Amino acid sequence: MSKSKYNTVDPTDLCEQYGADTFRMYEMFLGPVEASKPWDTKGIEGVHRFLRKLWRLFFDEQKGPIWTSSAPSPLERAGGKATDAELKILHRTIKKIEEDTERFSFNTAVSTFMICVNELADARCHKKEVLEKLLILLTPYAPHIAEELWNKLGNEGSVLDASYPAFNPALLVESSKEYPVSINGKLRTNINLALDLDQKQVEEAVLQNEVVQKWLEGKPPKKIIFVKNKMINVVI
Amino acid sequence: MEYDFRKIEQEWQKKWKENKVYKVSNQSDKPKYYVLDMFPYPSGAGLHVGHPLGYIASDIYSRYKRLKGFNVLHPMGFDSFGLPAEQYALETGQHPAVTTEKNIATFKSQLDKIGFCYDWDREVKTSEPGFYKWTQWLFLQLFNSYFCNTQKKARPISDLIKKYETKGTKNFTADQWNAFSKKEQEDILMNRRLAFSAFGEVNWCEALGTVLANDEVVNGVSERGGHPVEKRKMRQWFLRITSYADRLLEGLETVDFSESMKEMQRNWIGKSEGAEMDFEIKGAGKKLRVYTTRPDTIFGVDFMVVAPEHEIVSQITSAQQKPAIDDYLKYVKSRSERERLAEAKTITGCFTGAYAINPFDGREIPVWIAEYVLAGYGTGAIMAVPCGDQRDFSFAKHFNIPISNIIGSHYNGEEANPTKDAVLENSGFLNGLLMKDAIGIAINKIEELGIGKRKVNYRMRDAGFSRQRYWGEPFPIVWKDEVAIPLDEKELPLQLPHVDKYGPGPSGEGPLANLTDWVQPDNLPPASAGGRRETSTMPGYAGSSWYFLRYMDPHNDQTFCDRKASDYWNQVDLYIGGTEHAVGHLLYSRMWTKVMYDLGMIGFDEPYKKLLNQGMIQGSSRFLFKLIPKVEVKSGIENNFSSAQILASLTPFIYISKTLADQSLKDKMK
Repeated sequence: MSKSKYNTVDPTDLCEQYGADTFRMYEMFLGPVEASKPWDTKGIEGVHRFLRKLWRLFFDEQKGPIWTSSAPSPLERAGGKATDAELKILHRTIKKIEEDTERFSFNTAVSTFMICVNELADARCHKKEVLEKLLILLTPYAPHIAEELWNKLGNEGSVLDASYPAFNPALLVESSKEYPVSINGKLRTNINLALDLDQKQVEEAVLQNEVVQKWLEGKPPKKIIFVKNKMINVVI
Repeated sequence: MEYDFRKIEQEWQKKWKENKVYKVSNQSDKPKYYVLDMFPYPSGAGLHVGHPLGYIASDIYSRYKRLKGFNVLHPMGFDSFGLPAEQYALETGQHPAVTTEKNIATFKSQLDKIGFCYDWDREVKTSEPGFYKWTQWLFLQLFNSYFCNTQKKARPISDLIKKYETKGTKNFTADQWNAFSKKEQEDILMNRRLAFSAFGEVNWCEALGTVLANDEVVNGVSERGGHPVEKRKMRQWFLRITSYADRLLEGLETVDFSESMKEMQRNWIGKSEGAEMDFEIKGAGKKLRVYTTRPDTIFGVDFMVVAPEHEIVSQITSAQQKPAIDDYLKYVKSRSERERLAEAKTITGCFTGAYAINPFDGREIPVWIAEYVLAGYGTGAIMAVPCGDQRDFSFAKHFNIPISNIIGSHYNGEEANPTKDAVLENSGFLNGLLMKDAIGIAINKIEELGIGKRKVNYRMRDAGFSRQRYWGEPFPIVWKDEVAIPLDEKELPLQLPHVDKYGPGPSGEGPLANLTDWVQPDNLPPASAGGRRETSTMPGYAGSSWYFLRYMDPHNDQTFCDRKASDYWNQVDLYIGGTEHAVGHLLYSRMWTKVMYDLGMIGFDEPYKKLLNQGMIQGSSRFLFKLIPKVEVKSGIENNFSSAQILASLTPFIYISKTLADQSLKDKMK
């Protein structure tokens, strides 16, 4: 309804140059929707690169489709089930996108998508069961690319008719921890231990460790201090 | 395989359209959700990057809600009546209907390229006869209703007529009413109708021969041509929004608007409680009625200020002061209301030569006129207490009026102190009382002495509802013997006739007055035969006051919106738009909704459950000062953005929002 002097850039030109999905996400990325802001197209390339990166989780420019499925159709490549780490990336994203969208914090949602795609790329995750859910989350923000990839994955109909992925909090619960292990207060190594171990089980595991054994030189330690979820200190 | 976004986006937009993916049904087992954007005025410039910010946000939320299992209504349309199209027509001779249609086509193609999920089958355009038929119909409902002060709601005017016919009222008996002429009865009813006609001030430009909107007047001259503009009284239409002041305030407690938005509406309504009291004018046999929120300061009154337009001015001005007063009145006539209120720095005023008598101590108080007091607010006269009000203080200093101190050490002689916590001195029967306690005691005393009464006052005035323009809804009204006769529903829509010239009509009327055949047609029904059509048109906010209901049932030609449809879709769950409509469109549409609710036409009395105000986007980087702090940016964004880029996109909001908010308020609404 209103009109001001300086914002006369035609959105159609930007849609033509970068695509509507890039334009949509970039306008949101500019900042909180309630805030006033200057228009500046400098960052639009970055958003565009993000969508290309998303595309490359599904397709390789030379090889074509690269997604894998644990129950592949004849045309799909077979792959393993999603690992805990991959599911963790996905479910962290589901949680954050849902929270951000509900409170109209669209700019932070856009950066959450960027983080998610970077993490999946780093993990070389091309698994359909993860990617498919990500597409549903992305639909409100970048509907065209989401529809296209949804369709390419072999789904019938519009991705808008899919149901929103349910967030599973159990997947975000840490089951183990990388404990720092000190000898006489000085950090010497790390040990990955399950979180539900008691003092005795921890002591056994620590004494098995090569680095600790080297420092002990065959003698028994005076004391092993164990603070759950924090640290381990071996006193000799 | 490459990401060929151009091909992908084109294909999907085509598919969405062909398969009507975004078609929404009024029948569904799913819960409903209604997301609405403030619809755009289709200006010739087309969509710019500022528009889509809100549209993208609402589109994201709509799609999200659909994925979450809701039946989502997310429509779009055009607020297509309005001044710019008419001004463009004046300049180029192109008919507004033609340019508007062209502009809408441009807007739609631009919107579609961004991939919004609108159900275009529900598109509304306020300038289409199929839409404005119902705007006219709703106007008739407002015309045929009054506000019942007992039930605090709108009721059919026929109820009031029945009461007058059978019981009468405190001003006349039933027999007297029945003996009144048709004109007398209609004049009385006009004072109660929710849409009513009365004489109101307009900006008249003699050189252009036309009435100008407030926006078209700058520093007392016309924006076009720089010709002088003066106030003139003309018959106008108004909405009695003041009757709804309390309900509009109470309703704010039930909606999810930002606190600043609520505060803007509260200030606009401007409710205050105080007293109305009469001051004798010395030797004139006249009384001056003032309204004050601070009757506790009655002993600190050092002068009175009356609005220049007040009818008492000519009756009390002394012969000696007459020339000065006449000069001052001439000056005030050239000033717009906005200018009079806004320019606090320049102090102007003129002494009338008359004195009012303080009813409590008999003191003589000089009576002045000054432009900052408006005739329409309160009684058009105020009592000035310089030690407690800064504007009164500046006025007294400027004109060397002696200042009385009634608050002892709380007043330092250098500025006013508006406190309510001081103990009163030099205040007769109020001496020794805390000011806030004295307010009620003073009002009781005023009532006891019979010189005034307790009174609630509002700053808001009834809303002007007519424009001397072409490109708007014609009024379904015929004037006959100075009585406004409504058209029958069956005659709606009263189509806006085609004109070739957009210039004003004679004597300040709108362009429609030039169409003599249309103004005085031969085929009027018996009740209005021989009458003359109303030639002004409705303002830009008429259609937008109810459009959100039409989306629910856009093709209905039997009613504005079937009750089943409005019961199903109910309130707008999320309304997105700019803050510039805080006290215009948002208040008007809230009022219309309340009237429709009172009359049983819809089942809710607030139109918008939640309001989200998007910010402005400015296309200039001049606001990006080099204030970017050194902050380490973590997370995966690094791969795509340099930290400077991210900060460039985030930091401006911290410090530019004020500038932009100020600027946006100044922007023309349409």
